[in-house]
Amino acid sequence: MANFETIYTKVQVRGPFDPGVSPVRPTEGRVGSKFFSYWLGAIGDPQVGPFYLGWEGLISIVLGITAIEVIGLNMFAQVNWDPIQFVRLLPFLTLDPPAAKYGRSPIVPLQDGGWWFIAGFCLTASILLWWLRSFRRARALGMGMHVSYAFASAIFLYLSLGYIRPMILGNFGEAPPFGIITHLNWTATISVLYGNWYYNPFHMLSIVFLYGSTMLFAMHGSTILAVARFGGEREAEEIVDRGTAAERAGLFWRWTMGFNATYESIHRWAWWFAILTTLCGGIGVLLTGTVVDNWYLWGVKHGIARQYPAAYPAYQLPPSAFKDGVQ
Amino acid sequence: MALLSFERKYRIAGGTLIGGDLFDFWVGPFYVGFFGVTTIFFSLLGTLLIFWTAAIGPSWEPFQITVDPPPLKYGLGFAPLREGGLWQLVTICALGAFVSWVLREIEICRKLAIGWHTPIAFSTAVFAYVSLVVIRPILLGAWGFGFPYGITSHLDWVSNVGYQFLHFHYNPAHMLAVTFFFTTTMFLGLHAGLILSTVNPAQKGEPVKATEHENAYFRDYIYYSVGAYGLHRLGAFFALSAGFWSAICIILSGPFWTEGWPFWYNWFLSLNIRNAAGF
Amino acid sequence: MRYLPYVAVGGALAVGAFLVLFPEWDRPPLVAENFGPAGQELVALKDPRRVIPYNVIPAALPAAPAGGPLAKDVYRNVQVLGDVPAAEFDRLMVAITQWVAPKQGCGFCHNLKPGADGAVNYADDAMYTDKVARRMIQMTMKINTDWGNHVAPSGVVCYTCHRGENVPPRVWYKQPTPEHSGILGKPRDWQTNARMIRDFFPTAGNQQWLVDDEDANLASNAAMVGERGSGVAAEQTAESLYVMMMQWSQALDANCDLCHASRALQSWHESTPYRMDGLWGQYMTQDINKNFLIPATNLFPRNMLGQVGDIGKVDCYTCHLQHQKPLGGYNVIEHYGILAPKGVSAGPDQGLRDIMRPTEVIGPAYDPTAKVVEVSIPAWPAPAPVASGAVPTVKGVQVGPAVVTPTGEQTGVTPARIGAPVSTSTEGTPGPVVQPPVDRDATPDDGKPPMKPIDPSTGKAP
Repeated sequence: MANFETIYTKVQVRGPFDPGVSPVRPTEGRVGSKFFSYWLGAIGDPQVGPFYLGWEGLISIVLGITAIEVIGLNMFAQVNWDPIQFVRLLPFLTLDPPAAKYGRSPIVPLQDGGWWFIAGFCLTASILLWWLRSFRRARALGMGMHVSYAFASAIFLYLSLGYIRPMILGNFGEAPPFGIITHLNWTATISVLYGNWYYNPFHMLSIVFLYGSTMLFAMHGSTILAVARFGGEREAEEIVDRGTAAERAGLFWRWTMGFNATYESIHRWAWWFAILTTLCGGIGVLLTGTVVDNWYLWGVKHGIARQYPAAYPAYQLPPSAFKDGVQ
Repeated sequence: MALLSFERKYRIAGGTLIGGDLFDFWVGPFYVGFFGVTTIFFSLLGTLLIFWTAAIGPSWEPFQITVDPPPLKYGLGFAPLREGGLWQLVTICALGAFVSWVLREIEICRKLAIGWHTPIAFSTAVFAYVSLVVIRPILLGAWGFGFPYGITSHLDWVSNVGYQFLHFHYNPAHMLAVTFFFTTTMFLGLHAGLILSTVNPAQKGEPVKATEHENAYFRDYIYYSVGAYGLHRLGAFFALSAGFWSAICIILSGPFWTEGWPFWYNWFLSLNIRNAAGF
Repeated sequence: MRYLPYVAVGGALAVGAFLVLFPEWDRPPLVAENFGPAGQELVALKDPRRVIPYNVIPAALPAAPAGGPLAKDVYRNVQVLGDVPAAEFDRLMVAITQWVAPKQGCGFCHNLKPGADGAVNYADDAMYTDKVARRMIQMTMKINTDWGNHVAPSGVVCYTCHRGENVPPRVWYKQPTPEHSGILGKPRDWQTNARMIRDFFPTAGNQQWLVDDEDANLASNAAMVGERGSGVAAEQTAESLYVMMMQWSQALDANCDLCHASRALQSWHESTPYRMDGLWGQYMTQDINKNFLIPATNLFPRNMLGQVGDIGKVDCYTCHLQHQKPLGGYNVIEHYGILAPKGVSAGPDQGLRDIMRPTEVIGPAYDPTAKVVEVSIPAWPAPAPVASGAVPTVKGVQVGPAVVTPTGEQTGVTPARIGAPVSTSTEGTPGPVVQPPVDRDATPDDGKPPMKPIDPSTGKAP
């Protein structure tokens, strides 16, 4: 342990610049400067680039920058174009979705949510094109589509929040705003408005997979670092041709908890955990307000809410406690 | 004996931290060791205590079973069993089991001649648990500040503590922790997807790929491939940071900040950049 | 490039050190009050070292001698307090000066320029502050009489809100809707001007629920969509409510758990009796805003009104000022019973108030009660002789020229400076700057009580 450093790379081996493997099918060429970074090399690979841009990448970047500009300029206008106030208030500034009265229509006054639509459209298009890149690049290099499917799951949650659920509920006032603090306000409000988000079973699952993913990455990352002295970080190679690193990594978990994954199956566990985090989250979002109105009462209905001893004597409830005669 | 084909050559004596060769043996796939014995002791006792609590509690519904901490009035002393004493015993058992598990992992690492990264990573999770049930309660002066062991009851506790601070999302350490959780999960999805896609090409007859293709794909995709080694450093660091900042965010909430988290930012608005910059 | 990581690490350390040292952190040992069953942490934590702003109160004036002529027989134009003994009336006038205008003295409301007879005419209504003060006295008496379910047993006096300042230090104004002149949204002044987080949040919720009494039952009372009692408000409405509830909580140095079981914020069955008290407070605040403050808007000159021309209105913070009970529960009315002619009583709600206490309290000794301070005010000239009877006295204090000896150099009230930096003065309020009272566009006061009666049991006008 003492003589093998895994915090950072002490001795960097610097070979010739790797131009990258040739695609199995012809595409546009790679672009970008070719250089090495000493500090990146300290924790990872020192080589930066080359980069495949492609038409979808170009449009995606342009649209992404447009979205950020639209959001940023709207925020800048909110502080009356004062750069110091812009920096000071940046965490609090926001680009809000249109008010509920505009319904599903995307044709709303620019300053009243129209910019939100434009920014949202540009951002969504940019993300979808970036997804397309992940797919086409995997195909060009003759690889599987696993990265694309994982990314698609995250996009599903994004679209559920910002597009599908507002469309089902009938107005875009339900969508989250673009803003650091304001999207937190939105999150907290949605939780209390629909009873208690913690009682949403899909939120429970999503959190389980989120924490599970983090736990899995801690377990997996630390195991690979621990067997790196045996060359264990070369995972694809170990999958097709098992070496002592893979054997020791497997045995560590087998002896610890009676069960072990293999170099390949650990990545299947990880992939599913990561995918299910956003997939369950998206389902939980889509059920809220469309099927279930109050998750806490849903929990009561299904017997999962516990009863607490009363801390105070009962007292007369005010009329405002009731809705259609129901408390 | 459920041995893997290559397992026999790795099953060697030695590497124990305590107990010499007394418990230096395997049971099925499990390595035992002195800390295996203590793990079994604490986890069995703790589990039985939870069942006891459930038995004297109101419900066997799995979501409702709970082991509640004592009332605040017992401070940092022992409480009667039915009034949180059981929670104190379960907590002791949990701590004993977790720490035994860490030490047992170290023994296994020594046997396999691999790094101690996993026990160190697990220690971060143990630290987060200790923050919740030991450090914060001691700072606040009562074991009653620990969290109840139960499915919905711990959710209720989390919301009770969250709403003590009006809007917990404004807690800066919580922001960091959540960011690390989300980012770790994103990294995990990307990493797992990349490895699977490298060794499982989509087209039939396409040869299995290796490291060169991993690097080429990510350089093509996002301009940089951190590499097989760096990726696991990054993943482990982000995962541990998530646990660490979770612990910090709950230690801050209460002992070092008692009002709503949004109102903590008064200092931020009191900064006068214009004056500081001299215009 | 090679030194960038060192710079980054150094910068991170500097930011870390700043965040440890600069914000006002609390530290143990803390007081913990539990408001729920054991072991659930429905707790409010308090740091006994935290300085609560405005936590002082002027010492009560010596009691007035009993009996004597009535104010209406001694003075002219006494419309509200005519039936109290003149000595008691004078004592209240001195107290009000301490409470509201310790710097300006009587001249804040009365024209101190001697008339033709060489004496001051205190009966003159010319100054708008005088008319406002009359309504505010009516309001105070109404609160003490009808809102005992929220203010008993301490009651309220002018100082409960004013804290030695002409305008209560914390009132709220409507925020102008950002103008839509261009295609981009316009600045939100309340954000750019905010000096503390409190100012930062929009006051839209206050208008909806502390003036307009909109339905605040936003969540569904049934699990599934379409069931009886279901229905959920718009997210943007709920956000206003969330913001307002945070402001309420901070005003009381409390948190959501004081009133609610946080797992089901809307459920009354799981709420504590404090929530009921909060509801009375909401109704009381609506009564104050709707029936006393807003109708008095036209009495004020424009420079005393907010950006959109509205009067400063009250919310929980106006009285509570980061205290669960204003002034730490200091009983103000026992010294000035004249403002509560029928006493202050919770009536049938006393039972509720009796059960309003924490289920458990642990931690160091903690007494948040306001500290009593001496407040001196400028001397005032003798009134013009108006009716028969001797010039009344406040015990030990001859009413007349130069009777109150200023203690030391001070002629003003000090409490406002004692507060924590989070709440210093009206400086941070995005409302008007307090100007010397000038009677410009004041309209005549008909002297009639502007209130509509409100039924305290429902909070609605019948």
